[in-house]
Amino acid sequence: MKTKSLLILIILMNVIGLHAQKSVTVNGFIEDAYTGERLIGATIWLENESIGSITNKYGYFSIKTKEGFSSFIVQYVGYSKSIVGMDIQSDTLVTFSLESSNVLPEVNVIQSNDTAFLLSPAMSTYNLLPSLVKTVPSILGEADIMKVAQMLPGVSMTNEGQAGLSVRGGSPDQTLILLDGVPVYNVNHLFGYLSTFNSEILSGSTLYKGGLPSAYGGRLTSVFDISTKDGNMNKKAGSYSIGTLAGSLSFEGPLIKEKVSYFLSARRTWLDLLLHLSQLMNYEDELTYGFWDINAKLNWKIDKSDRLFLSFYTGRDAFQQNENNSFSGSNINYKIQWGNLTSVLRWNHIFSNALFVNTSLSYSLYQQEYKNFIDQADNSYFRGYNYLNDLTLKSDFSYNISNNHRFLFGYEASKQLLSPEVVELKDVDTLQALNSDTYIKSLIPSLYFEDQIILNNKTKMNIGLRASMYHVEKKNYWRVEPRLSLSYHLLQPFTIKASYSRMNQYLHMLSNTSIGVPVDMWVSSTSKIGPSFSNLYSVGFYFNKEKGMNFSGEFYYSDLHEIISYIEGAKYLQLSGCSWEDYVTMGNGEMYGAEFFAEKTTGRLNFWISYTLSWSNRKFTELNKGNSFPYKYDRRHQLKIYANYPLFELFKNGKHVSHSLSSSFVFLTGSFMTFATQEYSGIDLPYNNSNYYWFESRKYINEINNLQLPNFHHLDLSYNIKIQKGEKWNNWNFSIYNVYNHLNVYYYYKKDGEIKQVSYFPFMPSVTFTRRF
Amino acid sequence: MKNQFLFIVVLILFSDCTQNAEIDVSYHNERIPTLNCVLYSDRDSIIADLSFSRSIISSEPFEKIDGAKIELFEDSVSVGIFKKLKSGHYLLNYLPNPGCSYTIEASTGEIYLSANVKMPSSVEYKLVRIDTLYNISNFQFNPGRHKDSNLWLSAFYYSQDSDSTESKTMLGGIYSNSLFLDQFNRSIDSWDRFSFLYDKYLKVLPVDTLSVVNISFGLMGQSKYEVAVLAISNDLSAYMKSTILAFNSDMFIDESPLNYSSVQIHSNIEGGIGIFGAINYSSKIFSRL
Repeated sequence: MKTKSLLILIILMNVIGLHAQKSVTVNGFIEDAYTGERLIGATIWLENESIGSITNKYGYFSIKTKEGFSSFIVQYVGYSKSIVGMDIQSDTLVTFSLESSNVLPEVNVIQSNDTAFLLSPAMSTYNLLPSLVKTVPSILGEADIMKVAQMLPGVSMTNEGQAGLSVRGGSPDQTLILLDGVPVYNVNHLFGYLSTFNSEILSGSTLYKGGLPSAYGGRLTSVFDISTKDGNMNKKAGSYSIGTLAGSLSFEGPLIKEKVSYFLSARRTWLDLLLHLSQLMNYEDELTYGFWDINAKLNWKIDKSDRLFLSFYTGRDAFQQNENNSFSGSNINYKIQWGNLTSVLRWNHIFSNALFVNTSLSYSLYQQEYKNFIDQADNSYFRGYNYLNDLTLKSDFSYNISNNHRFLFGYEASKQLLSPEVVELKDVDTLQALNSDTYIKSLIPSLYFEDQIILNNKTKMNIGLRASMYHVEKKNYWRVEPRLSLSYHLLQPFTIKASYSRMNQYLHMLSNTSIGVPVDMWVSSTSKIGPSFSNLYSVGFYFNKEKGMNFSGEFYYSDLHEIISYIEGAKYLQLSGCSWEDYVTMGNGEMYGAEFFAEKTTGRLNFWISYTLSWSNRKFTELNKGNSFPYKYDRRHQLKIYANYPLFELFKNGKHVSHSLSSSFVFLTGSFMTFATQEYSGIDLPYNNSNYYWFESRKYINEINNLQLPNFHHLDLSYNIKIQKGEKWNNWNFSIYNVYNHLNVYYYYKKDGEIKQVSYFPFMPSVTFTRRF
Repeated sequence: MKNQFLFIVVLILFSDCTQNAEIDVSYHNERIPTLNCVLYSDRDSIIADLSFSRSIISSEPFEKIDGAKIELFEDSVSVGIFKKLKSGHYLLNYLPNPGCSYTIEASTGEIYLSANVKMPSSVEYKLVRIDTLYNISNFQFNPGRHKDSNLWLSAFYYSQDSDSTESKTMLGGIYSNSLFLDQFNRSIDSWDRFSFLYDKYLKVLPVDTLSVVNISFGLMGQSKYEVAVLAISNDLSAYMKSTILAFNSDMFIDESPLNYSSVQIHSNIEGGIGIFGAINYSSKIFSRL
């Protein structure tokens, strides 16, 4: 009997024990309590345990815990930490809401101020928050996320004031720029001085420059993934902004409260009006330049498991110059315009407590047109255009096997249509089109998986594979891209990481210049010109102190293969009718260096300092006699400092008035350009007998990019006054670009026996007013 | 005041600050010896030019190099030493032979330059005049199978000078729309025709024996003209190409050098820069119909 009782007790204990260890899943979303906006990159931790999860770009998380009472710590930068206790008896779908902390924004580069990052294998990754974008000083006070990204280690501008990103010495087209998951092929307004991303629409962004997740492909060096606001689910709100260069207006609110929301934002420049007025006063009307953009989004919370997003973006730039001289009969009339249109329908669905999927159907269109009217009646003209559209269907699945094991997988299918260089010539009677049959159609199906495994308390690993096929002109290019990231937590607070990514690129931007538009041209791989590929290797160490001092160092080496470049003497839009394939050459490149990043994210003074030591070289058979040469984006030293200091705060008549000062300093080693510094005696044309003009001398260029421009540096200041009452606020921003008026060299040229230096950005003050209502 | 404000805004946005600059050219200041010499199959006097390069901002003439010994070798055997002329050039009286290899060496106490070239062999070809309409004469050109890909066509007309001596002048207006024309002939303002700089030359691709290139010339009023076939050595052809590309780039670059790919002029001179080339000339003379 005794034995029997003991047996029953043991069985009972086992049952109880098993019951106590039963695992349950808590999954759901983390959102802003006021707007219902889902928070990307927020963290959720089980209190007293080192188990946590990070929300994906849809604000979704999934975490496993034991049945019974659990306490969750939910946090996000700029929001008050929330500790939520729950008695959980079964799998639970839940939404956590966080209150904005209403404090002055921190230096919000999340990369290393987050314990989750320190412990994860992710490296060379930076999250930039919208609040940060508005505090970094910029040219003419126009907050711009691309300019903020240029402050990060290993990321630099292509040229002063330009929006394009050169990541680790690569060209701008080697960075995949996504807006709500849709590729944006041109990010430049105003010839690159502004990006197409209105700062009012941003909800988050992540830059990956190493250890790229398998979900991303199609570019050689990096990915910049930008998300837009979903719209306030609870209350109507809006904002407007008036700056020196442009103004914007945004509205958001619920169409059906807590069910359907909208977000709408429009921006335009004043430049066209200013130009028109100034010319009118001088009885001229020769130059017109304008740009605008519109963002719109609908967000429908169908039920707890399903959500639909419909996003739309379009923007356009147009530049026109007319010089009609009725006396001389001369007529110069040309127009350049370019723009993007993107739209995407996304469906978030929670299949089960462990499986989340996002399916997107997207369309992206880029058009660039150059038109030169030969007569005033527009009967004769030359027109060239570059046109690219991209229709993509993709699904990204996230399967949470356990807290130590997550499996991501998905597919993507893109259909692209590209016309690299169609040229039309029209006179009164005829229309002649060159390259009109060069529309290139391509299909790019791809599959991927990524296994995120926590091997033990110290070691984590992401291992993935992306396989794609590029079908063009009856030719198939099969490509496999392994990805691997490892982290080893040495001891608190040190972690070391390493990663490898293989990348392929099927679209290329041919560029003679770093201006951005309109002389850059998108082309695709063809049966003659194959895809480019790269290998990206990185190792790094990370130090994270609890009190907000973080430090990291990364070392990288990247090799690029079968990249293309114009051959010598090539120009944008050849009028000869020959294909762009005839005037490009293929070659290789290598980029290597070290990046160091230090930041302080707590206390009154927030700052970060980044330093990069880097090399970037290219080698093409048909250029520079086949010898390697420094790439135009090779910057040996890069030092960037950003600081933000809240000066004082006042509480008056229920209003919270805060004054803060931000400053940024950028130092870059001079970039490279090709410049003949010598000339030498030449020979006549064969049998010419000097009957026709020929050249007495030849310019001597010893090698491509033989001249390094002087070091580039500028200091910028921004003074911010924010007057807040509840959720409404007014903000005044006073900025000075290039405080000490250092004229950085844009380029040199020779004229009248002298070398001239051209600079574009002297001391430039500006003011911007923003009102949130 | 309002007007001034608007102008300031516009100026800030659209004007650049241009100023004179002193660039660090210390590593470019070295004077580079230059040697230029072309061998012609129909000329028995060979001119060589030896000089130093100059700074890009200098307006001084190129400094000739005096006291140099310049020697020409045919298939490794010396055929003579150039003599210095009053003009500063160097002269050697010698008729090069098609198919032979030549080496030129120029030296002083400080410099030593050398280069090699092979005089292209004579090209067999057929040139048939089809018709002449108005001032346009049309031909069929069949270059046969030729190894040398640098085959150029040109034309000359004859005229009498005041002292009754006959002289020939290069014709303009040579063009073709043949598939067998080198892509390089294409120029910016002739999308449906092919020609090489001022319509003075056509460059023909290597073609098989059956291929025919249709060419046309714009004729002058004279009664006699000559169609020339120039077989040009590889280096000289590359030199001519790069020169014209550089010229085109310079023409459009003007004050905005960012928009065009820069061009390095081809050189085959060891120890310096310049060109050592060879041209095998053959021609047919036609009377105007």
